[in-house]
Amino acid sequence: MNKSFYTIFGSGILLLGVIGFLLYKYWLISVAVIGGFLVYLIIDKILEILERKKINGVLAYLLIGLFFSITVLAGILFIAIPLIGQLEALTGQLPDLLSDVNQMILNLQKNLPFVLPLSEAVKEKAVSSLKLLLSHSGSMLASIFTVSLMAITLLASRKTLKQRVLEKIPNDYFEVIVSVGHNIVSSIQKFVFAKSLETIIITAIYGFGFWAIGLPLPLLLAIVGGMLNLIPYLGPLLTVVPVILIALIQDNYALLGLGVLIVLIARVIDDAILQTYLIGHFVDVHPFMVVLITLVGGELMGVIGLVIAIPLYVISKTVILGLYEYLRAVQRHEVYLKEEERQNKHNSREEEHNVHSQVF
Amino acid sequence: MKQLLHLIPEKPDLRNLKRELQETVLFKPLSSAELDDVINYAQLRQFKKGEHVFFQGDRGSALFVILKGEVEIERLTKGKIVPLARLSEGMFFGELALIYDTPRTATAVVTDDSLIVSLFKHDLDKLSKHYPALGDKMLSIIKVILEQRLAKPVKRK
Repeated sequence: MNKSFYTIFGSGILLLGVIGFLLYKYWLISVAVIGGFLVYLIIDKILEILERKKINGVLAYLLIGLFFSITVLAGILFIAIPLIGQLEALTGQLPDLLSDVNQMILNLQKNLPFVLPLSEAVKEKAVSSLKLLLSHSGSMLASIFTVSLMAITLLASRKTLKQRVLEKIPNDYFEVIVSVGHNIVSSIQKFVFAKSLETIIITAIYGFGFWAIGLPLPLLLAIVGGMLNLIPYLGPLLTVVPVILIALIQDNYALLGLGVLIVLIARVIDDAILQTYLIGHFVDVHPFMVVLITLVGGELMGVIGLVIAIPLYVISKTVILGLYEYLRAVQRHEVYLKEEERQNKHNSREEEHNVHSQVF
Repeated sequence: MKQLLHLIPEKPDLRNLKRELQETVLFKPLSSAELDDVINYAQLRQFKKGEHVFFQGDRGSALFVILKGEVEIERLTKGKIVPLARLSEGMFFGELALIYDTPRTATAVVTDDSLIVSLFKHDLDKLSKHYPALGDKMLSIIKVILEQRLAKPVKRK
């Protein structure tokens, strides 16, 4: 491997870094583009299945349209509206809740003097963060439409899009690029699918469990818990905190025990089934690296960084390995082509020589 | 409605060449319906004289069927490019990539403007998963042809 290889590879990684930075800086556009692409990949998969069942063209698109309309409608009716309601309720109740928590801490302080009460700044920060989240609910709904629009645009040119991308590939690199590209897209597709499925299952366990034991704000706690579950090791611990606090404020120890039990059940299902059969082979990362990457993510982007650090690492690693494999192939081809050119020149010289020999 | 309908694309290319495809060694034993299923997973490409289908040392991931044109298989040995075989219409090559996960042992260079169909390993895997009987049939066709190719040099002795 020569120096130029590393220069090209380094430039490639730098370019990926710049793309990553732009995606981070203009995150609303990124959400629309990436979200739209992911929705497109899911619908593309469903269309493929329908085509195998010989359901083609308009009927397939109508079925998918119907299915997604029902899903989005159900999502708005049964998740988005109750969630916004629960968030509004929480915003109203939060000052009282925080006062109760503070009172609990003060009581604790009598026995454990090192426990510090919540400062006013912390309380204000909590309320303002929640209000900010609520004020974003409009733009979240708007981004659902942008994502859908993006997905529809991609779907409209579904097969021609693939064809156009394939046509742009030079013939000499066709096999390598299609193979590397397929590895990248299929790894990301499988990883995103597995991680989404894991999050949905864990959120459903939390949601159903919290609702069944009568914990207040079950949907909100379940969705927060499902998101926090993406944070390695720390996520489940963070999920349990609001559950304990709410149970303690209500002075309901049975609720506390049951709440913790539900988080534990979700943990066992996640570790024993989902991580083993669904995620395991995608996240082949040493535990030390997992902690390090998560900490770096948290340092750079706060809570969102903690959540997306590992998925982002896995995706970046796949893309960089693909880039490496492609550049190695390019280097190999160059060597071969040079040899071919040298030999062609040699052959034509020999032919010329033969012609001359025949003439004289 | 018509405007909307034209946004829904049909598979544009290979279906028009189904008859030519049916005459190739690899696809001859398939029924018309089976060939339709295979076409959904295959790619059609035009190559110009001098272009390469694959290079020695690449990680192989597809097999190629020549619909039109000519391809030379050559190998770089001890600093010299040695031609191994010249393949023409209806023949296929690169099939070892579908069976063994090893680098290409030779280079395929197009010696006349060609029309080549490629079938990638990941697509054949999908085909086998979704249509097990067809997948088995395809693999057994490849196996039989491979055996015949390997047996040829022995017979010559």
